[in-house]
This record gives sequence, structure tokens and C-alpha cells, in this order.
Amino acid sequence: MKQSKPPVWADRFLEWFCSQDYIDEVQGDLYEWFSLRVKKQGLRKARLLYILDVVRFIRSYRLKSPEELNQNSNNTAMIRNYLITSWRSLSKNKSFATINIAGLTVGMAAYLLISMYVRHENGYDQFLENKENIYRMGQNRYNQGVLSTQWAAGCSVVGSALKDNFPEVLEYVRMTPSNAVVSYQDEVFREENAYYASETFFDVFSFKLIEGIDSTVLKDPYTMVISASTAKKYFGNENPIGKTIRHNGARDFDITGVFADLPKNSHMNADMLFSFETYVDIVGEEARTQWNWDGFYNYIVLREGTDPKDFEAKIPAFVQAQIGEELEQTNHLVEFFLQPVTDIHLTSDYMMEFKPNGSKQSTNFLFIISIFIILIAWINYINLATAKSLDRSKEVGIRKVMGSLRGQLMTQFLVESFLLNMASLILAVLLVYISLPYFNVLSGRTLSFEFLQLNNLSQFGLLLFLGTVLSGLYPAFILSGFKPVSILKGKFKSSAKGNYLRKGLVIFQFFTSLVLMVGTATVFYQLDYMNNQDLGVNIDQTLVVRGPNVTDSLYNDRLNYFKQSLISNSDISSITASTSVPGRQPTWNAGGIRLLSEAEGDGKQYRVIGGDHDYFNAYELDLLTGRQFDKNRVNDNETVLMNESATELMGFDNIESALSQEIFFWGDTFQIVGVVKDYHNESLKKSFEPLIFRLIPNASNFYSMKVSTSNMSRTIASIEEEWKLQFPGNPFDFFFLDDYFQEQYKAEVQFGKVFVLFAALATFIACLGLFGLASYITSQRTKEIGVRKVLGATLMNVLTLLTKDFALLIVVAVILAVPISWMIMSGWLDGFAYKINMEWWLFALPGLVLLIIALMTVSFQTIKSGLANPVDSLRHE
Amino acid sequence: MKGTYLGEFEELVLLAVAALSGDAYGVTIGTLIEEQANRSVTISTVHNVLYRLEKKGFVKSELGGATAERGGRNKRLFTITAAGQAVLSESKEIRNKMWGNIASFNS
Repeated sequence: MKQSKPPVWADRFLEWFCSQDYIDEVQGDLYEWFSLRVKKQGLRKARLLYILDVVRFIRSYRLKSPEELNQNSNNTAMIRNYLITSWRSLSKNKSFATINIAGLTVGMAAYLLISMYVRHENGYDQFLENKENIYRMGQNRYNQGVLSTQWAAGCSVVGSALKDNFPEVLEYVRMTPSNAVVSYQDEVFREENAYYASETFFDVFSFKLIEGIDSTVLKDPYTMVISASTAKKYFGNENPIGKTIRHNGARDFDITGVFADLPKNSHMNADMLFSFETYVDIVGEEARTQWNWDGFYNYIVLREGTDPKDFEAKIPAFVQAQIGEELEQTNHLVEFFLQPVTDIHLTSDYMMEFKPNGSKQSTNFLFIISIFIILIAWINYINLATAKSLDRSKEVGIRKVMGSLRGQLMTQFLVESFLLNMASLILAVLLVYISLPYFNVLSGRTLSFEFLQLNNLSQFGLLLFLGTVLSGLYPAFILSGFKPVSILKGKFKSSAKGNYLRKGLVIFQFFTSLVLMVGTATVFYQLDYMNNQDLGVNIDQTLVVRGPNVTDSLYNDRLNYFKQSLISNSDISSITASTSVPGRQPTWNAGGIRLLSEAEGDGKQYRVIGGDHDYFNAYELDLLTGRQFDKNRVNDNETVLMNESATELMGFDNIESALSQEIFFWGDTFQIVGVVKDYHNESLKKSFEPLIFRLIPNASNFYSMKVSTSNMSRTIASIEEEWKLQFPGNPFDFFFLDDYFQEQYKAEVQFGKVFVLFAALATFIACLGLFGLASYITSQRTKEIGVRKVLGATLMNVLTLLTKDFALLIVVAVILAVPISWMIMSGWLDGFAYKINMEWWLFALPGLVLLIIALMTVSFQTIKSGLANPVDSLRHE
Repeated sequence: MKGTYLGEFEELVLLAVAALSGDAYGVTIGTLIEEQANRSVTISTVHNVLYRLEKKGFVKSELGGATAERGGRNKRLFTITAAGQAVLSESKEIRNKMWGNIASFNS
């Protein structure tokens, strides 16, 4: 019989709710019934049914009446007593309660916000069905054994080749971006998030197709699907199915489907998908078969249970068999790796990501910071509670004499800390509600706070439990351990051990604040440094218009006319057409470029910028040797310029020797006619890249103009007017280049702002605690101060006496924080190619600020008691 | 007789109480119904029905008969009242009358 017992807790539960009047028959019958069930249906089933039966027995007439509850449980009476005494003690020490609640509220709110953020960041693409089997093919290209480019979008063939040759690969989808200006009747829009996608898109990704059939919508050439919001943009409430839209003024697509807008927490963004067959129709069959042509996203679906590492290990041999010979000849290497789709957002930062991804490192870092902040708040409670132990000692003594057990006393103090934590949690939730919109702006995410979400509720529970136990247990332990005899004799002094602990905790609080402050200073100094660095290229006062997608055979003439008529405008000092502008990596990434004298395998990868004759003057690039492109030389489209880094990569000892050399570039020969100084074409996070400049007078990606600050709106209006005249059917999109360049630092600026916020919060909470501690300790020494003043001590003497101890703690915190923050922040700075040195004042300044804030906090109290008339403090006994 | 309508399960329980005269309590009633009607019964339902019947005055109960198997807990033993017997026989009568009306089943 021993083993076949019903679940104990269910039984307890029954005894807890069931009234004495019914318990006999109910429990007795349940026991008998249970043993019958065990024989018939086995132990497991019987236990399960037992639980169900217990629950079914809950009927109002069987519940214990309130009287019964009260009579039978001494505990409830005690709990009521705990609540009352806790309430009394909290309302007696209002400042103590306020300081604790304020600190805990801020700390918990910070923690809740950050944990929401962290959960959001970790939740990317979790909504996909089959997410554990979807992988993106990342691609590394090596040149002469050196890693040259890491692609998020590699060569086009890899997905289909793997599917055809490995049974593990169930499906693949292939995508490539389309630079699209799309028109429907009179509406013209530039679509930033438009892609060609193969027909399996909706099979691989469980994005919801509202209209159309998964497997057919992207099957035929010149068909497309659009997102619901895009459909609304073009067609309002009309049904988009069967409508035809025009792509770059040249091709018509039939809309065969509408998909629900992609969730914000997808690593992908797509508003329009054109069928990949169209792309093949436009550029030819090699769009499907090329191993050397990059820029195609490939996602594969592995068979359930396939080990991605094992599968990845099979790829090199396969690639070798396919194109090994060709790669060896040119001394190239291509490597593929699998990126689990759910990891892309936090771990991937390669060429051609769909959108700027998050960073695992800073997410984790933020999380750690939030934990530290809440720790600081809990420490406040511990410190203040133990400091106040002297006050409570009498109470404890009396209670013990009256027969209170140690456990009961501990419960009493734990209830007190529970109440404080509970109040703070409620306020913190309110604070989160209020501050969420601001936090969303700061973090650049759209978080929403659903109070009743399971995740949030468990967070609340965790906070409450940890808060009560972590902050309550130590004071409860100390306070309940007092010996009643010594307390009541009046011999009690607060212990030295408690003092050390308190000091240690204060040091920890200020150490944390200081590390955060140093971090803040470093982030902003680095940002400032990057902004004030001479880029070597003039991006000020530059307005960039994105070139037209819809063009005709007269494009060259139109461009010339456009440039000429604008340059005659006195507010525009220069205008140049180019394939890329500073502020982003040039999208033209060309491999296999080599000196004519070199062997075929020696080609390397360069970034290429094509521009017209005015490019160098307009951007004020520094020509070191040779000449620019010359309008009067007819053959200049067979020449190139380079930057210094490119000449180095090509193997020239000095820039002069590069002049007049001939290079081989995609089947044509070009002569090097000039070398420009290295300049920062991209953010200072990166070092200089090898750049080659080609003469492309009719480049159609960007038109950059230097404009004067006055009459900006008039200038823009006149540009737009001219634009509409020359390039009708194209949307007029422009941006200012300095803003565009700044966007590269968006993540850093956000990081800096978040840092400031949390450094301030941490310091605020720590100072709150210090304030409480100082006011308490000062009030303990009121009499001493009175005596000292009577004996002739000045205000200064008193201040020094009271502040000395605190100042020492801060100094220790500073000394400890310097090496730690140095370590952390130099790690952060390692991510930048051009960075500041961690100079002494980066530590000294925050240290000094913290010291001043702390001393001000302390002296607020000490001055008050220092100024007090000694008569008052001595008269009272 | 108003307010004396018997539900189907109520009737079964009441019949079981009558059949088990003297030893009718939750478990025995449940087991009997399971055996006779060949259906699965939950003990809590049996209890709830018993209380309903007691409220209607068809059964009465007393405590007694604790065993070790019940963890020393008492049983609530039910016996059928006169009203209970009356409602059972009335129900049977109604059924018999109705059956009489079905010609093809009467052979």
C-alpha cells in the first residue's frame, strides 16, 4: 500500500479548503476510490484522476467558513500581526520607507524595461514555423588566403545546388534585392524593401499570405506579391489581385497575392516580392547557376534532426567538386556557413543584411547593467535596515522576552521587506507604463508592455521573491539574533561586522555607478572624436538626390541638361553624379582586379566608385599625384584613379610607381592616372578600404550637390522643379549627406544615451541610500556634536568629522573602479579602427563628479546638524 | 408532486441507494453504477448528486463506519426515505405506461 499513495499536495490542498463538516466523507471516499482506480487503471492515471477529483470537490458549501479559518489557524492571526507591526514601523520611519521605495521603484522599473528589451531582441524570428530547421547560407570569400568579404547574401546557386545534391536539404529559397521605383497610374514610389524571391518563399517562411496560394503566387515571370500596407498605399481599399504595376518604368507585373506585413521582429523586411523567374528572364540563366556572382540570399530548410554542424562540414568537399579547379586557378576560396534563422538578428553583421541587426554583446551588457542597478537598490534596504538595527533592538528584546521565536521574528522582518518590495513593484509597473514610449525612442524598438503576459508575471514574481529574500534575509537574520539580556540592559552596540558589511556595500554601489559614468564619458568622447575627425572628404552642405530608375534613351542628354541648369543656380556650387556616396560601403565590389603584368590568379577585391568628371572637386578629395579625369581627353573612360590603400594592396612601394601602370578589370584594361589620399568613405569604425575610381559620366545612382545655407527651401524647390522636368515618373528623394553619414553611428549614439540614463539612475539610487545612511548616522551623533560645539568645535570641524568616513568609501570605490572600467571600455573601443586613448581625465572627471555628488548628499544632513544649536541637542535626554 | 423531477443520473444514484440498503455511501454507489450501467463515474459527481437528493428529501444520511483503508475517516451512509421510494416508483410507473404505448415492442 505504501507506494500507491495519492499526491500529498493535492491531499493537503483538500484539507486546506474543505470544511471539517465534510472532510471525513470526502477524503475517506477519495482514498477508497483511489485504491480502486490504482487496481483498475494504474498508479499514474489514478493519481491524475485524484487531483481532478479534488478540484471537482470544490463547492461553496464544502469550503471552510471564515470562522473556521480563523479558529483553526494561529498562523493567520500571526500574519495579521506581522502586517500590522510592519505597517506601523514603516509609517513611523517615513523617510526610510520613502528612500527604499523610491530606489526600489526606479531599480525595478529599469530592470523590467531592460528585460523586455532583452526578450524582444532574443525573440527575433521566433514566430516562424519550423524555425529550428531554417538556415541562411552565409558566405566568406578569400583572396590569396585573405578574408575579403563576408556576405549575408552570397552566390546565387548555392541553395539550389545543395538541395539537388543533399537529401538533408528539403527546400531552399533564393532572394535578391531589386532597386525599384514602382508606379500605378499616377502614383510613384521608391520601394526600399523590394526583392526578387523564388516561388518557395512562402513554403520556407510561414509568413501569412492573405490572398493568393502559397505555391503559385511567385511561380511565373512578371508576377508579384505585396504586403497588406503596401497594397493600401497603392490601391486604397480596392482589391489588388489582378492589378498591374510598373517597375522602373519598363516592366509590368501582375499582382497575384497579398501577404500580411512582416512582423517587426523579423530580421527580414519586404514590402514587395517579384518572382525570381522575372530576374532570370531579365539577366539570363546565369542568375540561377553562378558560383562567382554574389548578392543572393539563400535560405535552406534542413530535414528534421539533421545536425547543422555535420551538414556544414560536408559543404567544402562539395564546393571543391563543383568549382575547386576554377577557384584554385585564381587563388580564390569560398566558404559557406549556416546561420540559424533565429540567430541572425543578434549575431550577424555581414554585407547586405536586410536591416541593421542588434548586437548580442550590448544586449547582454545592458542586462548586466540592469541587474546591477536593482542590486544597488536592494543594498540600500540592507544598509538602512542594519543601520537602524539599534532602534529596533528594543522591540526585538521585548518580543523575545514575551516568548517570540527566532523564526517568527525573521518572518516579521521578511514581511516588512516584502511589503516594501510589493509597493515598489506596483509603482515600478506604473513607471514602466509611463516611460515605455520614451524608452522606445531611445532604443529604436517598438516594445509593448502587456501586464498579464506570462513572461511579465513571472518576472514580477521573481523580482518580488528575490527582493524579499535578498534584501530582507540579512537584516532579518541580524535583527532576530540579538540577545535580549544585553539589549534590555542597554549594553547593545551595533556590531563591527555589520559596519564592515555596510561599508563594503556602499563601496560596491559607488563602484558600479562609477564604472557606468566612466563608460558614459568614454562613449561620448569617442563619438565626439569621430564627429570631429577630418574625414578627408567634404560632406558638409551636401544635398544628395537619388538618381532616377525610370530612364529612356535620352538619359545622357537629360543628365547633362539637369546638371547645367542647376549649376547656373547661384545657390548650388557643384554637382556630381556617382554610383555611391560617402557614408556607406560602395555597393560595387569587384574581384579579380590585377596588374596587367600579374598572373591571372593574383587578382584581388576592391570597392569601386564610379563618378563623373566633377567627382573629385565636388568632394574635395586630396589628389596626391597624377591627375583627375579630364573632360578634354576622349579616352579617359579607360583610366582609373585609386586611393593609397588600393596602391598598397596592388603591391606598389610608393604611389608614384603606380602612375601609368595598367590594370586588368573585368576583361578590360585601364590605366592608372592618379592617386588620391586615403579618406574616410565610411564610419571611423572601419579602417580605409582599397578604392578604385572609374569614370562613369552618366552614373545614375546619386547626384550630389553643394548648396549654400541660405534659401535652402527655395533651392530644394528649384531642384525638384528641374527634376520633374527632366526625369518625370521618378520620385524626388533627397537627403543631406552629413545626416546620412551620421546614421552609421546610430547604434553608438543609442548606446551612449542608454548608458547616460542608467549611469544617472545608478548614481541616483546609490545617493538615495547614502543620504539615508548619512542622515541616520548623523542623528545618532547629535549629542556628540553638541558636546563638541560646546567645547569650541567650528562648523568646519564638525563637517570634516562627519564627512571623512564617507569620502573614504568613495575614494576606495574610485580606486577599484578605474582598472575595471578601463578593461571594459578598452574592449568596447577595440571595435573602432580609429579610437581615442583612455586618458586619465576619463576616470578623474567622473570620479570627481561622483565625489562631489556624494559629499553634497552627505553634507545636506551634516550641515544641518552642524548648524544646530548645541543647547537643543543637549537639553533632550 | 412539484419540484420532484429526477435527472437521469439522479435516478441511477437513488436506485443504487435503495439497492445497497444499509451500505450506501459514495464509493459503493459509484462502483455499483459503474458495474451495472457500464459507464465511468467520478466520485465528486456522486457526492454532489447525493447532497442534492438529500436536500430534496429523497435520502437521509448519518456518519459512521470508519475503516483503515479510508485513513480512519468516517463514511456518510445514505438510506432512502419514503419520499424517495415514492418518486422512484412513480418514475417507473410513468415509464411502464409509456412503454405500453409502443406496439411493436410489446410482443
